[in-house]
Amino acid sequence: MTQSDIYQALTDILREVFDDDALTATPELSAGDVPEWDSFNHINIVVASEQRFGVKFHAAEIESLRNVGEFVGLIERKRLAA
Amino acid sequence: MLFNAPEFLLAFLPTVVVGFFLLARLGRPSWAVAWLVVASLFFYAWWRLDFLPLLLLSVLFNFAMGRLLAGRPSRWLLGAGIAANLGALGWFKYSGFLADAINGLTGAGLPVPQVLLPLAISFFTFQQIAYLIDAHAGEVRETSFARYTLFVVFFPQLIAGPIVHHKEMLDQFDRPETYRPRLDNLVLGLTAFSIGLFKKVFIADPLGSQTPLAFGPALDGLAPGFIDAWYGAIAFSLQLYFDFSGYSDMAIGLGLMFGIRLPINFASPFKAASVIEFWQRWHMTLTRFLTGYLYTPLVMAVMRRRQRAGKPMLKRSTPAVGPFLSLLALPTLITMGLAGIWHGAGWQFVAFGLLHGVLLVLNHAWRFAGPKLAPGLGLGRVGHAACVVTTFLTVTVSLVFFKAASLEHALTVLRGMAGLGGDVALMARLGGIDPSTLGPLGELMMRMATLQGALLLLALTIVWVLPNTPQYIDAIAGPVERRIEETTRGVRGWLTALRHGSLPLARPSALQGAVVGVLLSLALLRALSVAPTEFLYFTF
Repeated sequence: MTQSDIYQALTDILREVFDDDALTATPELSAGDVPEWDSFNHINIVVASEQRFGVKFHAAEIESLRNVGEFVGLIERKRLAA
Repeated sequence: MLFNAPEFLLAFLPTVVVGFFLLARLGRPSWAVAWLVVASLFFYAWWRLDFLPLLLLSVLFNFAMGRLLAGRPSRWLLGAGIAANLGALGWFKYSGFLADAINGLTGAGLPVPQVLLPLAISFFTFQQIAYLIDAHAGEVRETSFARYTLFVVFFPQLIAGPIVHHKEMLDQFDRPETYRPRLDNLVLGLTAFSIGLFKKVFIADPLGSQTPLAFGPALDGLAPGFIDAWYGAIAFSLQLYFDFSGYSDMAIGLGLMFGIRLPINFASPFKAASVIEFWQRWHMTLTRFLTGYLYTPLVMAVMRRRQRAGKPMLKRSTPAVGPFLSLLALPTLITMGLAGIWHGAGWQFVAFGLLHGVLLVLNHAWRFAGPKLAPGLGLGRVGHAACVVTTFLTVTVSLVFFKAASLEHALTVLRGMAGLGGDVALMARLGGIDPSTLGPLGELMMRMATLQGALLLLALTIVWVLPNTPQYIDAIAGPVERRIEETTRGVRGWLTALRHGSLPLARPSALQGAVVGVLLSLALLRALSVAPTEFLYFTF
């Protein structure tokens, strides 16, 4: 799975969670850009990603993420380690 | 020692700042760290010497636990560590309340222990539980006892937060720049501190004298009149905000003087347009702690279990009641119920937490259903303003529980706010005019025409119109990127870089300097002329 595949898959997840087909996962996208990106939807995105990418996250890891780019970095590291 | 007390302002603070940079220059950074530890313990013990052993014991225990957990992670050991911390907090904070509750329910007649609440115990307990969890997860590793102690007892944040993570503090104490004094850190720190002190002595304290209108007679079961009740309750909301955010500004300012950036604790919470947004802006480091260490693990566990069982998830496109209740409503109520009781041992705090839990659940439900039921509601400038005012008034109602001495006390005030009160004669306070001849509007006008009424309006204007302190500090400092860029431009940039290292000094304008100077002078004059009052959050 390449980096652009991960972004594509995250775009699908974001669109489903927020029910908004205008959303696209980009490295700079952050919770501040989407009004309904609260802590609940944050977990929604993370757990959907766990299933999609076959990895598992700690609560502490996902709290410190600042944008989608950092999340993709974390997913890549986890997939390499798995 | 209080941040607004003369001995702190005139003796302790200057000595500690000068000593810190002097020791770092003459000796090693570790000397400066040790100096800060000793100074912070002195700061804590100034209050009451007898709580110092408990603080030290707690630090020692958690440092040892952290080392064990970082060396060999064990769920069992982590559980024991957390239990020990909660056990100590439970004994000092909740034993009386629990015994009372059990006696009330069963009539067991247990002796009710009279335990004094050690200062700051709720804050240092939470901070260290977070440390143990991070150590267990392999996120932190601390080998120096002095550095670990500083993380817990650093005096700007020891008593009432902001609640910090080990990593965000110690990364800063690892940087060599921290130990070199910078004029702009001192200036920006003093600015945040001045604004905070001004908020405390000129806004929070005078507003506090207005809250008895709602809460005073209610202590004896007399419900206040409608206008009195709302006026006093709003005065309390504003007092609490200016008191606690003033304290946080001062803490952030003190941190900056040592070159340390503490996390922001308030981001204009009364500008929030919903209760969800309110908690993203109010006491943010507590929200961060509760979200990170309680709510998120709870929701993640339930979500993963549902996923494995093939049960439906909760998505915007397909909202359903079952997943909503188990994935969202229940974890939110548990988290907020515990957040309530963290603030104090009493049913009124449980009610405060649960009420916010219910409000958050309703808010989430509305995010699912609202756009379909009432598209366009709350949009536009007027709609947004209506949401902001409604959120503020809702929070004001909830804070009645927060301020009240008991559940009964809170309900009496709320009876007044519902317009069912008026047990208290108003005649004397309204200058001999019979309020029944004025009507509610007339009474409100009379109230607002006083000096205290003007202060209340001023405070409302500040929270709704002005930027908050962190925004103001950022505006003075200017974007860091721009300052770095300046060093790369031409000969002048090169000279700046030579003088100040990679980050040139922030240069406030003369006007900004003058405004802060006036604020600080006024605040100091007042702080030094009246007896310092405690901060509201010191009782937690």
